[in-house]
Amino acid sequence: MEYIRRAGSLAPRLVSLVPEQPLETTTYGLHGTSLLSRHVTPSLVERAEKQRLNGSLDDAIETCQQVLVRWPDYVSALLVLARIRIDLGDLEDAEETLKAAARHDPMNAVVLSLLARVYLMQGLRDDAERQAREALFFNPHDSTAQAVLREASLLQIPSEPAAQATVKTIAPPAAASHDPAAEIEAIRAIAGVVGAILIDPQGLPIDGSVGQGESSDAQAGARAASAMAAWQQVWPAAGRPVRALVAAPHGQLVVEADTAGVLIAKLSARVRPGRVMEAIHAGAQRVLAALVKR
Amino acid sequence: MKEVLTELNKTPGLLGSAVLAHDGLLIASHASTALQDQEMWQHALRAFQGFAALAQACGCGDALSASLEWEQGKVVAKSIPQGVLLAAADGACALGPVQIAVEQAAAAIAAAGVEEQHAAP
Repeated sequence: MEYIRRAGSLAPRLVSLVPEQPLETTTYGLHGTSLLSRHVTPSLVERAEKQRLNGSLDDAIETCQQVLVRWPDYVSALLVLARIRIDLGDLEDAEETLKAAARHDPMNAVVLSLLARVYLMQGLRDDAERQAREALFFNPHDSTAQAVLREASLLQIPSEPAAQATVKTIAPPAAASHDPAAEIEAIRAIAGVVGAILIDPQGLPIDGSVGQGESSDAQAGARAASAMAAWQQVWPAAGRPVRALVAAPHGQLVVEADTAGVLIAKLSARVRPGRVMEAIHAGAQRVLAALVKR
Repeated sequence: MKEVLTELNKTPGLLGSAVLAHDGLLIASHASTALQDQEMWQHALRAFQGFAALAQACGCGDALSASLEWEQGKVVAKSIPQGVLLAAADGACALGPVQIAVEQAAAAIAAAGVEEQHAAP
């Protein structure tokens, strides 16, 4: 009952900040006529969303949980659950739910833009702006992200204290050192990067580490060579360079392959790859060029 | 599933898509004539599995998705309960909308599976 009382007192104010749209247009972003809507009619997720819109928040939570017990990574259910938590004023729980959804689906612009909205509601303007930009990277037409950016620029909310700001920066050093080891260190210094390794075309590690020990580095080298060999069979004429982004629960990999070798950067699972990938790409080009010169 | 792939292929720049079981069995595909070669999709699956093995070796866990791009093209792969959903796009199109469309299609396929399970007695 306490849950419901809190909902009653907080919902009108908080809900007004979150645009209400039909599930089809908010859940899957880019295309208004969702594929999901035709395949799940009526689905448990739709039922949960209807219950939420009708104010039956406890029922809506229960319905979401029915889905999440069986499919914990079902992003649309996590999205509805996050909206319920926003309605209840549980912004921290909403944030955690959306982060969980983003871990399973790091390129879902709707999840990212709603997370941006939650940050803004918490007064975290910098985080809100960053998150909204990442959402727009994946869907430039995301209206929620656009609105968050507009509102963040209008609100005079002080930024987070400098002490909380990350020490790492997105951009790697601009100057090329012609030393692959130094360039790999520069890539490792990029915010969100937890490891980087350079592999030769035969799969032997040249420098750096993915941070899991030497045997893992050797395995990574062999796997990278094998993956690239498989890739060459898909489109033999495609050749290189090839860029890849692999998303997994405990981390993400950015792979930059050229005829000179393969650079693998491991990212934290929590980081959004958008701008980080561009910085890694610039660094990788320098590493691979340095390798050729060496 | 065929309907989902047909819808997915309406994404600008997308040349074809397919669902393959983990053992390489082609479950469904929808592609232009240039991409109707089953073997091509099987190679693409092996490439995804190669990158998934790389992710395992790097301590990232089971790969959920992968996107690959080179000058002339792009391939997006997404792990789904039935296997792997693959989509190939031309090099000129933006990767973001293709990734979003693939995520939508994967969700639709998963949701169709949910509906089937609910419909079962």
